[in-house]
Amino acid sequence: MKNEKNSITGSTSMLLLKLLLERDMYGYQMIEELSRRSQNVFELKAGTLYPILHELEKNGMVSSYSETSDSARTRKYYSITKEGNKFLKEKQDEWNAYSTAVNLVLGGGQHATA
Amino acid sequence: MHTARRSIWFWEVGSMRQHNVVDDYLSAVCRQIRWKKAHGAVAEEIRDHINDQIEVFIAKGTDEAAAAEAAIREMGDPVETGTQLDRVHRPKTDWPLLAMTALMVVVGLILRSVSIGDPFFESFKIQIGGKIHSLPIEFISSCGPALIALAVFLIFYFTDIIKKGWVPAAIYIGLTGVAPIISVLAGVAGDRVAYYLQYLLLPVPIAVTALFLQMKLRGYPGLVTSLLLFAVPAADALLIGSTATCVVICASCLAVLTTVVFKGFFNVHKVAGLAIIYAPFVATALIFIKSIIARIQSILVLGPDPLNNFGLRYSLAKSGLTTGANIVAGQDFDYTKLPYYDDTNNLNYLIIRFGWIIFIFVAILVILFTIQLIRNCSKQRNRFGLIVSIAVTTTILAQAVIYIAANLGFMLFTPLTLPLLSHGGLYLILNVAMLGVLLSVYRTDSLSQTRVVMRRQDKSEVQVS
Repeated sequence: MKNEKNSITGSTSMLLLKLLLERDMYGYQMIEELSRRSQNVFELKAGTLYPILHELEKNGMVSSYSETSDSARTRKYYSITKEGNKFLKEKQDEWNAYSTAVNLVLGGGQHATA
Repeated sequence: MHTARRSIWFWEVGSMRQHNVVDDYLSAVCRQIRWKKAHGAVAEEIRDHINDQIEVFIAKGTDEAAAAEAAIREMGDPVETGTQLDRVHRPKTDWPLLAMTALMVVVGLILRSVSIGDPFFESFKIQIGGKIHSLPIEFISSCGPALIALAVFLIFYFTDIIKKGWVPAAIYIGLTGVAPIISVLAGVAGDRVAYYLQYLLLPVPIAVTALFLQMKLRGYPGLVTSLLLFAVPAADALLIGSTATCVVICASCLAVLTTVVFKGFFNVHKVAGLAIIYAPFVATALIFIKSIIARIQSILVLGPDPLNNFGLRYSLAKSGLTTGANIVAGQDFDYTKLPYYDDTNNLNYLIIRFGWIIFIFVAILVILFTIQLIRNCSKQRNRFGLIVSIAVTTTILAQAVIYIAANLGFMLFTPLTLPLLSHGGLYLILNVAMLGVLLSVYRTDSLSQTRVVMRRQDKSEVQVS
């Protein structure tokens, strides 16, 4: 059970970092964007998001800053760091390898030995 | 009018209820987070999120109260969230550095008590059951200040006092402004004040780094301002005649400002920034090049030098070191021959008395301590934390280098302390306090925001701090 949870957290971290690669975002934006891009498959709860984000920040994958807009709304924005970039690339490679393997197995017995 | 008033009343009641639901949720989350200092930032971020969600629901037509409740439901289980946040938000403890600090203080206590060979202390003998015991007076009298040092350390470690509004400014103005004035006015007593002042100026660079944060220094004006902030205590040090203190402050200044420029904290061009920082030092060195060379020459010859006692002092020390000091056991050396016998010569005496092995021991300790300090600097992720730790590390290391060099016979200027080892009393407390600040800043480095940015309507960004 723990492993499953870790791998879900790991995948979610990867997705969040990918979002941040394109632009800095705050928490609520990330949930919206994730949902939009995954066509509502990934509906991340805020209660799950923030622990992951804070952990990423603690590990140096992202950094944060407070931004005040003219309407005096202050939000905490996150931006990806160099280490975060590296980590994302690694996770993407892992994911590609994994999903390729799964597809190969599920795709049928085209690789049976003679 | 009547309707408007009633709807305002409903809004107030509604928003009060909304307020409570949100507050209840946030309290439930924060209750799981053991580190209380983290509550503020976490609660604020999650509250902003909830407010965003509420706005969305209201825009869809839900009323306030229902929107709040729906938003809270969207958040999930507060206990689960809080527990996970608790795992992330912990104060950081640098155990290796803490352990080294404690070890150095204890070793210092022991070293100071064995170095005294002065027959004056032999009079402190007591009789217990027919046997006469000499009391390790130095050791016992050192324990008092050591305990005070511990208390001071704990105060700085567990509080954010160095960041608190008036504290850095008070330390800065108090030590650099008021004290020298008193010293000049005190006249005869001025010497005594100057003696303490040379140590009291040492923590000033740390106050300066805290001032950087408060004054939100930026750009070239900020860089010049910070140079001036360092220049004042450095000038004070020269005024009271302590070149060593001036050198330590300058080392701290260079280390901190070089870091600031390299890391782009002030947003200045790297080469230009470095030029601005190093120009005054290079200029001063060139102006005083003749006396610097003369001083260096004087410490390289054995024998009294024409300038002052420095030559005589170190040459006696050197002869003590080079004629007969063995690796393990020292020789009998007449300490009364060495002028200015005090804690600034401690290492020297220890080597003469116990041999080079004690120097090797001390050197290893100092090297290990240095490694821990540098490791700590590299682990600081927060801007303020980084420059404070660099200021503290440089202040401690510069003292150590000057002291060891002087005690080995290379005395360019009167040393200050070998931090934690050589001196007890006020000077131990000062060095320990600085380490307390260092470790406190490390502990809370996840709490400080690195940047605050203001976005204008034209989408342009202004960095505010």
